[in-house]
Amino acid sequence: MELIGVILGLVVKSVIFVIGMFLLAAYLTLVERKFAGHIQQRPGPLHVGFHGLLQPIADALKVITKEDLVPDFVDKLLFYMASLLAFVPAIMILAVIPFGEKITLFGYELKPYITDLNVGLILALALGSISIYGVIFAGWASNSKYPMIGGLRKAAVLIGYEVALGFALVGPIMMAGSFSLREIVEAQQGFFGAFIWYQPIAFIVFLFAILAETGRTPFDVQEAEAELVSGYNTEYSGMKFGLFPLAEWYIATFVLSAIAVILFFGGWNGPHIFGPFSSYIWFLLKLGIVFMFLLWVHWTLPRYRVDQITELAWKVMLPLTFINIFLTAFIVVIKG
Amino acid sequence: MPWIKEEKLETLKRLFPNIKIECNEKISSIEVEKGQILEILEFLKTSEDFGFQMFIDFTCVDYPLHKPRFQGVYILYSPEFKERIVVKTWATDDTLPSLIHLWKGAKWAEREAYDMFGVTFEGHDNLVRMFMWEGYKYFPLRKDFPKEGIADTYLPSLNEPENSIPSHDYNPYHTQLPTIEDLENTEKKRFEKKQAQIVLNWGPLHPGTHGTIWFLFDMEGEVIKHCDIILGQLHRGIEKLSEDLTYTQIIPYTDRMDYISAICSNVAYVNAVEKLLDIEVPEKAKWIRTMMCELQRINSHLLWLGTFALDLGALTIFLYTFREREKLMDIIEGIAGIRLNSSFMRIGGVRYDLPEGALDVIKHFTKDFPSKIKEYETILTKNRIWQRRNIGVGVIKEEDVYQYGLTGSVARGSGVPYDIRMLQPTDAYDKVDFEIPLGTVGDSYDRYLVRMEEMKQSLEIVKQCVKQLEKIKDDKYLATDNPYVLPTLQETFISIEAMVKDFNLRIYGEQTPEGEIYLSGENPRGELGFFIVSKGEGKPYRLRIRSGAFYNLQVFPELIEGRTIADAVVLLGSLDPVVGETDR
Amino acid sequence: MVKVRYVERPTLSTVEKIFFIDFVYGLKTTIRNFFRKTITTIYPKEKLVPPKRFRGTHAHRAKDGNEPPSFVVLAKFMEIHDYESRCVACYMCQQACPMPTLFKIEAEQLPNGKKRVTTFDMNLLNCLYCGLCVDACPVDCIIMTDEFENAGERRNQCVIHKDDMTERGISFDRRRGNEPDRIWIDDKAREKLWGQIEWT
Repeated sequence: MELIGVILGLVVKSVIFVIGMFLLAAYLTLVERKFAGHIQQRPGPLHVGFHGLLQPIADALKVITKEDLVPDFVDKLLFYMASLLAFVPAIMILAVIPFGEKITLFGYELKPYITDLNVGLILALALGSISIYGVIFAGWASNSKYPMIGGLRKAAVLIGYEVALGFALVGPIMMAGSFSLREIVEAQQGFFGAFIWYQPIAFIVFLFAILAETGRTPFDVQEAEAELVSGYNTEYSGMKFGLFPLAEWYIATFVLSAIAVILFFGGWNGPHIFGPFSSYIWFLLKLGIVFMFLLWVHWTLPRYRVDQITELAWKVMLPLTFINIFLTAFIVVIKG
Repeated sequence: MPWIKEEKLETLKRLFPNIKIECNEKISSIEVEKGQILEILEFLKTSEDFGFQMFIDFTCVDYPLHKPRFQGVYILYSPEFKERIVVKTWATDDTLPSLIHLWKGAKWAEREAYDMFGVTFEGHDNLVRMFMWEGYKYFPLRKDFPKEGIADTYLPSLNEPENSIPSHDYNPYHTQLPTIEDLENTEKKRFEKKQAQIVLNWGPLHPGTHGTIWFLFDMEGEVIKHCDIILGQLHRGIEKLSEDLTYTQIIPYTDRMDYISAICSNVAYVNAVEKLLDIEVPEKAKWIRTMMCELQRINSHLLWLGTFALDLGALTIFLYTFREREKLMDIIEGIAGIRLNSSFMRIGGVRYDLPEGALDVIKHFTKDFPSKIKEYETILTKNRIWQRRNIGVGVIKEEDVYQYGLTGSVARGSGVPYDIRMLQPTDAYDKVDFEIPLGTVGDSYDRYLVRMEEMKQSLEIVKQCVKQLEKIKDDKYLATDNPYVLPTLQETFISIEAMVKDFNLRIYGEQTPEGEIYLSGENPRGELGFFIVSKGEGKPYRLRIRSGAFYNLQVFPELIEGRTIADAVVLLGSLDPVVGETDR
Repeated sequence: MVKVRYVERPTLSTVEKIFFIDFVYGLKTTIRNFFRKTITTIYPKEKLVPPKRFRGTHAHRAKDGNEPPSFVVLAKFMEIHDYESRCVACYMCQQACPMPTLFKIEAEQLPNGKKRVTTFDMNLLNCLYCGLCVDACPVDCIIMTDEFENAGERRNQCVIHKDDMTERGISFDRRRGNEPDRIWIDDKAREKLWGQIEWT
């Protein structure tokens, strides 16, 4: 009976997480559009609902009810699978991300995460790597030139930055002495306990890696619209198309920002000034700032060429992370 | 630009006694026998006394009654002596020797002549159609091709019910259109066979091509091994249309060539006609023209900057430049009546006087604009990504500029001080102070810097024009005393003489004296030249438009070889062609 | 005086490279714009008033008592009632047009020896909006108005006729006839983009 209870609890929580994530991702589009709009001195969505508040719903309806064209020449199985492969792993990472401390409400203990694995971070990285296949499959299955180039470009970028990303994380992990995201947060107490002060190099590499992984501007070569029309999703339409940007631009960015907050900004740690929900509010606040910063970068910078991106990954980012690991190890050993 | 002096032509005649010399203030030309043409051109190019290194234009003129029928016209420029020469020759047996070994820029010009006149060129490496598709039967610029075209293809409207007559001039029969097979043939003619892995059709409708240019990239991975360009998707035959229009009626068509800098095109055209007719433009009109031209230049460069940055992923700059462009559009709309295709110029002046408040608004703009340029520059100029994308991409050497006949910012980016505003000042350009920025390396980054600096210089010119225009408020804006200049509406309303003159000029056109003229203007996209052959009628016998964008685009295939698609975007952006002008 | 000058090619110093100073300045610029007021016109809800010189849909001025002297001369041969189009069928607009086939002008001879314009159609699908017809009209009849929303679903909706042109002309003159020849008249609406302009 106890097992069924646990499973039921997990299922309910997962469903809440997934639905919540869908809504969140939808509204993140609005956030981005409003932010981009105001940066460009225009108001952004304005007409659907108050200041465009219902715009994501309208967009979702539009994308779902659109005619779903599948070109004749595509590899059907992979073509369908690609959009799911891009989307599902991105959302699965959520399983290991804690959003705050445990709280007790009405006698129930609420854990704001689905599971607390001791290899949480590794799992997150692994799932992140799977979503590459979505992009590559999309490029290949479309059987068309622009998607093909876009998919391969993305693959080249991701391979480079996965490595840098992995090594960048080693620093904070060494300092915390654990792979569990919860424990990493607990290792960063106080304002100056946050790892950003000790791991600035790792943070910069991580920031670049987030931008590269999620295909945001300095690294958005896979769908550079001036060159490749729309890159790997050129042949897609309807919701199959909608899943790609949703997964890449919003969910992946959101999730990776969350990991950045956990690793470098002390997660939900912060003064208890918001009552019982203090930890959640701190977490979301920090996450929001990181997410907005990424948007801000996206809407400011031009983009690199693909060979320059991979060059940056292998020649600059990777050596930097090695230096960082070495320095961190040195300090950790000396401090005992 | 001063034409070559008669004395120099005399020395040339001593060397080549067979040439015929024609020299006047409008044009200096020599007529050469076909057998000698290569020899003389090579001499003109290499001789130190002449140094006509730069290729400006080549075209043909059709004289159906003359034997041989076609006359080839070469226009050359000497960077050392800063003078031009026109060389003419008759194409016996409808063939001419090809110049591609002397000037690479002749390649497309000769293809265009082949396409339009059916003149063939011996020694040309790939003589295929330039604008029309392979398999098109006619040569449109020949005099025996009807001006309205041959309407032989039934193309009914898709949304009109059958057998309905939607308007009095509706005709379901159109001139011929290319079929899919025709286009495939066209593509095949460009590439003999696949040289690398994939052939990417970049265009004709593609966000990166700034219009409807069709690029063929033969690629290995992402590296372009071989490239060709198929033009003509926007070919409207303006040169042919002009042969059936009076000189005034051509003005709206010049708007539609380089639709981003309509006023500059207008001014270049109108200046050519005025020189042909010897019309002296009132002082005020000159200053208004200069001011509007420079505003249009800023406008055009802003569009270039926005789309260039957009191509490179900096989306926000696009909106920022459009913010300023919108202001310029407001100004142009308020003064000329339409934002884009303004048709503001008239032969002998401008269409309207400046409206009330125009100078205030322009002054406000000049005050406001430097801070905005600063904004663009802080985001872009020193940005490391911007520099890495631009530096070293598409390096154009000085030699290439002469070889291809590159003009405008592209030539100046490579350090060639070729600016028509300086070399042959029309309007009020000889009375204003400004600097001509030059690049040192000739890469895409230099062209970016040059254009940014040009915007600032244009702003300086606008300021000087405003100052001057505030002084000469009550001058005339149209030289209506001249018999060739259309009267203003107010004059027509009150005087019967003006009305008769108006009727005459509208019906018969401006009766130009017989002769030829080549005059160019500095368009934002390069030298826009008009070569007009007049037979003493109200309509031009032949109007050749030397388009800067057409020649600038020609260097693209050579520069892109061995680079990636990402660089193609940068290179195309920095060459900044407008398809309306390349295709005409 | 024209001078020639080589442009400087700016480079990044090492300090600027390490601390991402170039990015920081860029980010600063964009965020400064974030806090500025938006400049867009929310089009179907707000509309800018086109300037008086705007070349929109064509119209005919009516015979309303403000005719120029030339009309008085030419109208002797014409049968034109009050508040009807001033057109005297001189065909000058068609003559001036670079695309003459878009006009269809017909006139008939009345028994009293006067002429009367029966048809004046313009197919605006072929129109270049260059304004040459306006310049050519000797009786100040054909004008171009500030109406620009003239899209239609069928071709025949884009053909304008004498009567609706006259109506449009009357309405244009009523709305904007007395306006000064100013660059624009809606200063308030344009302030959004332009800011405060010092008018003399």
